[in-house]
Amino acid sequence: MSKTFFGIQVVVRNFITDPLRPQLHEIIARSPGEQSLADKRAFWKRVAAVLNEAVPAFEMGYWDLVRGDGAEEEFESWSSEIEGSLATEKEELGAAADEVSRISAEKRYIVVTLLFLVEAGTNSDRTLGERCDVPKSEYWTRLTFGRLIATVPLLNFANVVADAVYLAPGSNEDGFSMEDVHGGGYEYLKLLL
Amino acid sequence: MTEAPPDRPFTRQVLIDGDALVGARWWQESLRLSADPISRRRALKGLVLVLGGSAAGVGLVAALIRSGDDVDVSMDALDLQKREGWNAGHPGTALRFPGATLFDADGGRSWVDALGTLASDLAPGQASLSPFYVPTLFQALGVASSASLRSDMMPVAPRAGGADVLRGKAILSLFEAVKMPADTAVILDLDGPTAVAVAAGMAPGFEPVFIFDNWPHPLGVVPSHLTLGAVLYHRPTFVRARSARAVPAPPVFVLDRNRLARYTDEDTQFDNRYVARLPTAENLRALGIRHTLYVSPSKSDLHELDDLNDDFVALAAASIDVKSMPLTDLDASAPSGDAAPARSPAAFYYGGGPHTHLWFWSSYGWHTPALAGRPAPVAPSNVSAGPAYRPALRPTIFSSRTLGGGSGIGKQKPSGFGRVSVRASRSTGTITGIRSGRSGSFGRAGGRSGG
Repeated sequence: MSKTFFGIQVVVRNFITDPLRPQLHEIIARSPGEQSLADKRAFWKRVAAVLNEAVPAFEMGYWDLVRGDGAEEEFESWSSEIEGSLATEKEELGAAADEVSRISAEKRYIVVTLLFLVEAGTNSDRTLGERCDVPKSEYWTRLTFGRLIATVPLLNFANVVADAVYLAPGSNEDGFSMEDVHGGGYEYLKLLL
Repeated sequence: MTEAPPDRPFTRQVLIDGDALVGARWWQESLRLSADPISRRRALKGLVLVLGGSAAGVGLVAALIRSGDDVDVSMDALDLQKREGWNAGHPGTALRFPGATLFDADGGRSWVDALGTLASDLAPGQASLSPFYVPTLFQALGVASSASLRSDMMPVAPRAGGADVLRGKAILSLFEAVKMPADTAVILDLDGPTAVAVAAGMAPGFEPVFIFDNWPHPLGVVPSHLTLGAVLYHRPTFVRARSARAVPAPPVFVLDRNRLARYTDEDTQFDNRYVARLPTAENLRALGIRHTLYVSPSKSDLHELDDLNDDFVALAAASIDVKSMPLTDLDASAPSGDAAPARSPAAFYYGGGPHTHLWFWSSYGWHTPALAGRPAPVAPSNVSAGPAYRPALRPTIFSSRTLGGGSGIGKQKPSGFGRVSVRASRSTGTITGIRSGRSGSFGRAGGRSGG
């Protein structure tokens, strides 16, 4: 079965007092372990609504649509890399030197990642294809990222094989500095216009 | 016969709820295990690989960029420097160091080896104060792209006679007279090199918490390279004091008053201004702070700078007493009789003499020194009305600039403050030029390419 991968990652300028992070955190942490199609749509509607409020604060990002043989591998790659970073990040958070580094610059960025693996040729696949078919000059705009995220609740989840959402850092007290997102494996991120 | 899908087809495979990451991943097992791909309809549209930024895709896009592809945007100055280099847009312009010296306060050159470790060398020793340390300026020296900054840097010596250090020692002696109370914090809001020198004088008894939140730039409206140079000069004093200081020590928050310097000319200035991020009233109360002494340059500057007004009013509302003292209230003894004035005074005192020094506590009232046989202090005649100062809310461009009603960490800059015009490619998101003048011309960016 051929599949299509869609992934979108966005760096959001966020302040400790902003509601974005706690809202996302709650939506993710309270999501049921088993979801019906209606549950799934409701879940993604909530995520998209929270992110939609933050579109003006999107600073950097990256998205990709991969069809064919590499799709499932791409999903595995994104999810395993993000989940795999957990141990390293935990160690860093406790290290004194890193405390200095993180506190140093403003801890004002969070990274949100949404991943989907859909059956190729289905209406979900076509919806993604149409929404991702943007002029190259608009690949890296907040507007495009907002539109792509708004597409998610429109998917027919009967055709969605797998999906994932990640919010980093997880602690409400922490955040990434601009230095963090310019290095440490995030070099691929694009400045959003 | 087709098997009906389960009511809840999505099963969560992973749930992470940690400090580093929050996340969840689901699979729809019925689709994952499907063994009948033939019955599925093929895509109607051609299976075009949409390159949302893969390396190959961006390489192609970059090759097709036209000048009309650029767009002018405003960008946070610090973010721009972190992205394009500390001297963004002006890589050939040198920093100027009036008062530079080759040697630090110990007369050595260990500062050369300390350039990359300044942020950790000067971090507060007390963990409770670490969250309020803002070493952004020090970190400018540590990044790989700042090799030219490291080679440009020089220690900046204090003014002749070391008056600023001596004034710091005078503040220290006032607090030593009341046994270094941990419930009183000092905020130095002076021009950068002066603030650093005063902090160096106080360092044996106070824990310096530097709050320098920008990077230097050759055209910076805030001459923060001079502050950085002063820190390099006094670094041995700070490092030595940290290991010798009794704990807990009261904090001295060290600010550069030039952070709000007047920005007038985009032709000749780079807007590296920033706002001070002091601990909130709640933070200070948690630290046990009940009194705050705000040290300003002179009698004409008794009130706090605009970006601190909201914070100071909030402190007062939280019953944390805020009083002000200009640095000029600390003075050297006047020569008596016909004696020639000393070229370099040995000590400074509140009110200008040892007999008025401890009157500070009579004026400020927070603590009472034990005189232990010494004569009672005399009221000075030439000091400010700082003890009577109380912060009052006033409209500023920084008023209510916080999200969610908090203050301190998370404080927002007002629009247009600390921002720079840049030209960027719509296609690649890379910066192609940085505004260098009112003429609208854009210099090329620092040479990085994206994609």
